[in-house]
Amino acid sequence: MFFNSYEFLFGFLPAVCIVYFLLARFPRAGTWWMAAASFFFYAKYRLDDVALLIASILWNYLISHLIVRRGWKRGWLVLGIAVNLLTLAVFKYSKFWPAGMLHNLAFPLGISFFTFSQIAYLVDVYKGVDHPAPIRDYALFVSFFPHLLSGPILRHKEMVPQFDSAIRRRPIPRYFARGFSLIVIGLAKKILIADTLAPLVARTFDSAGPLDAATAWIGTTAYTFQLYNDFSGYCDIAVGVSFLFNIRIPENFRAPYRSTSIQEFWRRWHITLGKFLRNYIYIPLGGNRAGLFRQCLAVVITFTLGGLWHGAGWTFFIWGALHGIALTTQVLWRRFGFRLPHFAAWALTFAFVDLAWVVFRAPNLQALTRVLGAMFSGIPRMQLPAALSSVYPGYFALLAAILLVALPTYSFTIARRMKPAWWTAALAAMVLTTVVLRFSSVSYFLYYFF
Amino acid sequence: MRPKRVRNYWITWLRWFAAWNLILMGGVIAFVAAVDPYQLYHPVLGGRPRFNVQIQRFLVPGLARTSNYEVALAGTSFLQNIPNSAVRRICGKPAVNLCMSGASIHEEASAMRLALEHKGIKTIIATIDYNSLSGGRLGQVINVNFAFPEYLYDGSPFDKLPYLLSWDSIATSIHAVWGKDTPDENENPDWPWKFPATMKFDASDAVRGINPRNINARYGMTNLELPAMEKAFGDNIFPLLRQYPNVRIHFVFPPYSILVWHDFRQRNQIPVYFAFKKWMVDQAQRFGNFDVIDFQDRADIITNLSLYADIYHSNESVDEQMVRAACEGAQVLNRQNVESRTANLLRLVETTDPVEIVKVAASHNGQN
Repeated sequence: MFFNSYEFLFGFLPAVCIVYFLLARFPRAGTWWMAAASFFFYAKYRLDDVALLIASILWNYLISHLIVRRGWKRGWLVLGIAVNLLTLAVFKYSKFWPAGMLHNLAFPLGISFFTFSQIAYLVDVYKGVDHPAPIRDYALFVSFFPHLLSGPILRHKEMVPQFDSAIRRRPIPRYFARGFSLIVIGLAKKILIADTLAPLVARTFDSAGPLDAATAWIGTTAYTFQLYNDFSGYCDIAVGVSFLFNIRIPENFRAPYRSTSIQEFWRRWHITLGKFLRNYIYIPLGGNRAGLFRQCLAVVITFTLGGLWHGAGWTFFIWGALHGIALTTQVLWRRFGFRLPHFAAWALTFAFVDLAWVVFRAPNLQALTRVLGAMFSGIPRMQLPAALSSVYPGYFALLAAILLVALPTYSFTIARRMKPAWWTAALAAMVLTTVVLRFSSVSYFLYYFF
Repeated sequence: MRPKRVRNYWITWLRWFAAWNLILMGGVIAFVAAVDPYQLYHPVLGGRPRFNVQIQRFLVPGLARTSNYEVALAGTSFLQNIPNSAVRRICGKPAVNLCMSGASIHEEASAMRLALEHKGIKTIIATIDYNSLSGGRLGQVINVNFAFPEYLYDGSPFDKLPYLLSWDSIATSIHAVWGKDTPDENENPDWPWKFPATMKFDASDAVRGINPRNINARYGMTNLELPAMEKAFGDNIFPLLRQYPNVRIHFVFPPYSILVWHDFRQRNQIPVYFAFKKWMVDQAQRFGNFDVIDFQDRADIITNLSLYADIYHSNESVDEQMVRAACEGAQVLNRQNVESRTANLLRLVETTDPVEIVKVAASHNGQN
């Protein structure tokens, strides 16, 4: 089941919400109910994947208890993580296996998100900063449907205390209003902007015909905004839906395209992945306490692995390495005390991020060279009017996306500062109606497949 | 006092939000349901249904539910080009045409199910097109670039939001009431799926672009295997035969032109299709509530390319012959004649030369 579907918005979500609050007096039953609803949500896409999800939950839950109760702590941790990584290797990185092996395995949606959340949990339990909760809480933490398919990557110790809090089982109108407004904003970003930009992107990256410079630049810029609106739209909906249940999950985006450095970008883009990489890879590799060389090496390794987190492909590898190198450059830049004017810093950062997305989006290295070649070698012959000759909704969406990024606000600040007035309710309802009217054309969120 | 005051503001906001959504979405639903451009609930407002083959799969459920008929035509385009009045004249009963261009067996069965659920249905005449049996149980949708709208075909009243609450439906509704005619449309409920005027039945047109030595290069049809064909038919049609034993169903093998049989020969598919025919005859014997009408060995039709717009589609006179045979019980394929009729067809294929056929047809130049 997907957020942008009639059955979710008009069937599943209201039903789950009503029963959840009806079970207010029975917190444990409420938690079980939410977990069952989450499994149902997941099963609606492909029933077979539920077995993997359940097996993953049981395995990690067992390992966390073994870490706490038995002596061989480090061994259990390594074993637990190894099985998680092996699962990922089998289901997600089957392309890297020799030809003929594992190629028919279907990719289970959200596998990266629920696997990495659980790896983080095992490490936290091992370090003693977290401890195993009852199985119902753990099952809900992993399967909690708002975040299950595309994150954010949650931390066990931040989520579980919220599940058993009885006071949270009472509907809170303020949370409901904030939740609905985030759902509306997220759906609008996904359906009105990201989906409208999709044909512009596909025209550049997925067609085999000749590609001119203007079309390539428009297509790659469109992808920069498509990806942001698609993924941040999903996360807005996830946070909004969680608000309806009085559960708060972390925001994953804070206007990343306004960053003036790569470091700042990673504090604003896919924040929970950035934190995961920092806490569970960068710092264990030594972080910034082991000398400049080790720090730079740790950064490059961390972000290269971060690139591979997105999937099995050289383009993801290169994209991650590029970000690692850019961050290293920034570390050195600062070490030598260079400073750029604010606008120049923003422009440089945005240009890098935008070009790096070309690598990220290209389906393979051949397509990457084709698109980059068109972007740069075709500039002298660039004919913008020819590229814009067909009136296309995508251009309006692109313009809207750029203008929205330029605004000094973003989803969470809008939802937080929204006035409880009739006209904000009318505006939200108008946007919701507009997006619901486009539910009939099915489209997937891009991050479902990472 | 202060927290209570803040809380009330947001309750009011939520009420406003719910009210606005009710007004806006309710308004859209009411408008689409009132116009009902796909005639799902009632004849279209203003009485001008716009039949467009591009959205045939969206219009067929409405036709099946809101038309008055005792005979239903179903299947692929081989029977779509015939007026309902002609079927009524031939069979003596009111008729509806639920055919879909390029229908898969799953789509055909979905339309048949709606017809079988219709009060008063007596007879169904359905095509059996080999290509409709590709793609397994759910079939392979040909010629369309959207998902088959299952929600319009099921009986649930709760899953119709994709129809009632969508931009496409608003646009179609506005067009149905106030829009101007377009060349793709047909407003004649008696002949909703009439082939367009641009489609000419002429031998030279029928063979245009055909390489007689590799006929499939023009169409790119996939090769089929007997077990998959039997499974596709059985999974989709057998439940209907069991559930509605009192409705007579005539499955018609349509008369592909002789060049199609040469294509089958070039791809070594003839033994598969003959075996399927024999299997169909056995199933007819087993079930007892359907028969098999075979037009594929009709040399007078399949060798006369002036009846065809392409190597597959023949004109309405041939459609009328198929309907007449079904209603009169003629051309029935059974255990007694299946061997001899398939042998005759094979002989016809073996004794003709596709190169010569194409050469003669190409020189025909509109002399019907």
